[in-house]
Amino acid sequence: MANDHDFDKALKQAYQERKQQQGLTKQDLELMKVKCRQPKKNKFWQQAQWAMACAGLLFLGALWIQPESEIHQMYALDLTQYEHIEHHSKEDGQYKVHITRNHTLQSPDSIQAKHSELLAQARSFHGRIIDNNSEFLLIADCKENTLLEIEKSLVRDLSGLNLEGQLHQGELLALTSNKKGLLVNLTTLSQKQGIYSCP
Amino acid sequence: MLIALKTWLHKVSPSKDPLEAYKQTGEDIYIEVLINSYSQDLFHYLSGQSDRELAKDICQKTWLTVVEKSHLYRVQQTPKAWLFSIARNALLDEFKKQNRLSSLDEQHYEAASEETGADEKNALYDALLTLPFLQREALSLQLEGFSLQEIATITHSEVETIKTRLRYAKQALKQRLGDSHGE
Repeated sequence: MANDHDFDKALKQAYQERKQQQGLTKQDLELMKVKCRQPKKNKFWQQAQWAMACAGLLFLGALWIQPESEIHQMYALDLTQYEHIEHHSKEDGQYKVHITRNHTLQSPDSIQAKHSELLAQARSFHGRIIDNNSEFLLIADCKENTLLEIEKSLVRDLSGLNLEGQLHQGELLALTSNKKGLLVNLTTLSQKQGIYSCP
Repeated sequence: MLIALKTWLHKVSPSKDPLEAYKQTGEDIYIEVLINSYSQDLFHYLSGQSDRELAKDICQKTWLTVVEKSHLYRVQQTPKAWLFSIARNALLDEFKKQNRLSSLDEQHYEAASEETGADEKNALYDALLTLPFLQREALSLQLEGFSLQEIATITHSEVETIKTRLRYAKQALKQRLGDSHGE
């Protein structure tokens, strides 16, 4: 070889020529491609990820735009948390009211006096429906001291309320009682309306 | 969600480097582009260091490693240098299994003697195949167009060591060709 440059050139040429002569066949290349093709396992997960992300966004959006008034609180019926339970019922067509006390919360001495005192007060107050079962409407007074258990037939007599469709758990009601402790008025009270102060 | 968004963004703007694009998207099209672009170079380099069958196996193994470990590719490297790096490691692993690694520096290509002198035109290449492994490897990588630094990176050596190997390789080739012409 004349010099290093010529030698390098000749070497490169020989290398390239041999590469072209003894390369891989098309079949070899195709086989390599086939072995390298990935199973499309990720497609499902990618779609699932998108679906879950969209569902999450929709849920968050729904929570965001839902009016506050439509969010119903859940109320559990726990009799032990009330000092008194007022039973309003009809016996032989007569409206009767009597009070029972919760023994765990009060001493027995002043029970009767307190009951008489409670019934003798003419009251206007509001309460929240705790339960609306087949026989009774259970209402917690605004102080959550007294639970009113009102027979459904009595509610029908006292108000024109639709007992099945209108009265839901958590609904606010305005109540008025006379000096005998008998309820004389019972109406629904929208949360947007002013709420009576608790007597 | 973030992964899906990231994948989508990468799909929208794939890189020009097919290996980087494959790393980002995992789309088969990019591995096929890589196989079309580099398989012949890779196979020729490997067959120069071993034999055709082993070269083919190592070539396939290299592509499967790319599929499995494309996330390790860094754009600072050229795709070709990264591929040759993987191929060389796989080849040395195979030599290790065959207990051929200990005599690597003295190793000569077994098939070379059979092919040497077969064709006057290819005498130079045949002479290259008779070089010791490390010299042959350095020279093959240079003939593949790698810089000294890239050869040093692929072979985990110093640049000065590569220079020495190349010098000895070329000296040996000239000597062998001179001898063969003299005979």
